[in-house]
Amino acid sequence: MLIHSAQQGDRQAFAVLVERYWDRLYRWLYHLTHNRHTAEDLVQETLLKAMAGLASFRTGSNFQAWLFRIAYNSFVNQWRAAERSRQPFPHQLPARNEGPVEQLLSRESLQMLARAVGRLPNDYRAAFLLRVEQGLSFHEIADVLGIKEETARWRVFKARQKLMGVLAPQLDREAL
Amino acid sequence: MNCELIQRRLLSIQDPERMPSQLRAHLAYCGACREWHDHLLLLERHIPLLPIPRSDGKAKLMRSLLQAQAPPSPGDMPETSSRSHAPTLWHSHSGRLLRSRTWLLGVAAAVLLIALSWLGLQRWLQTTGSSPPSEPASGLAVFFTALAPLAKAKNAAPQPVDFPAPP
Repeated sequence: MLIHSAQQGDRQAFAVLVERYWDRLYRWLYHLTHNRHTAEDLVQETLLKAMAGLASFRTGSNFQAWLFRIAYNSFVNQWRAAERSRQPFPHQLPARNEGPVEQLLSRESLQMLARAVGRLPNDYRAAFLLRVEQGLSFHEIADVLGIKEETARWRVFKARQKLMGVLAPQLDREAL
Repeated sequence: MNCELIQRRLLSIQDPERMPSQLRAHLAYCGACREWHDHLLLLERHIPLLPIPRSDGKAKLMRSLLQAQAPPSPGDMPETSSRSHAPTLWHSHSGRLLRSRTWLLGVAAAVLLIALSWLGLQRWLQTTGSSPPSEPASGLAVFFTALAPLAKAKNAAPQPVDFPAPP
């Protein structure tokens, strides 16, 4: 209904979609780019492209997957253009108040996890974050990234394997 | 089934929280794999908690999206909207309307009064059977006498109407 209204040119309806998807896109693109401003630009570009191409969206298909596909294409274009001047992953993470869930993992482990995610190859990281943060199925990830479902499964598998290789020994040490 | 194979299968399933029964059965008796599985779940649950810098990009885009929308004309706006967003506009519009309505009502009342007087005079003349010495002149005189205050009021400058200040 909301998407249909937006397709009819209702900007208020599109604003609701922006409200709903901005944070998800920004979070994913920040993890891919490691740069706040680049991520913001890419989210804006994605949403404006989506607004312009909303008429081509088939009602009934997965809007989130469609949006993330646009975002990924924008990211790939940007990444190719800026490959040489790519910024390293920040070592100091932004401060964040510790909540009850975070206490399960120490600050040190969280830093380690963030760095490990940042060091994953882009393809693995994109697929893994779509699975874990956005809850997309392997089929939907394949759709977003333009790959086969089995390739999506493989990339998530490899990302998990690498992260577990880094984090499991740390968790074992902390458990002692 | 050996533990390495179990762990590879755990890495490849879509949701490690929803394991097939074969994997669950293995974890039920294998403490090492159970711990390994717990670590995997801990890892995945913490991914959404990884801190990222705040962004004000959403607010900016929302503002530009909503501002780009053409503002509706006052006539298209619902009354509540005009009151809440443009109190001055609403009050001035209402004031003009109120002044013009008062003026129209005054004119209508005066015309009605003149017509009734004219009819009353005609009936009185018919019942008495005598024609007045100068009937048209007398009728016109009554008419202009009644209109005189109205004409005076019309020529006078309109008085400003005070309205309460908008909240």
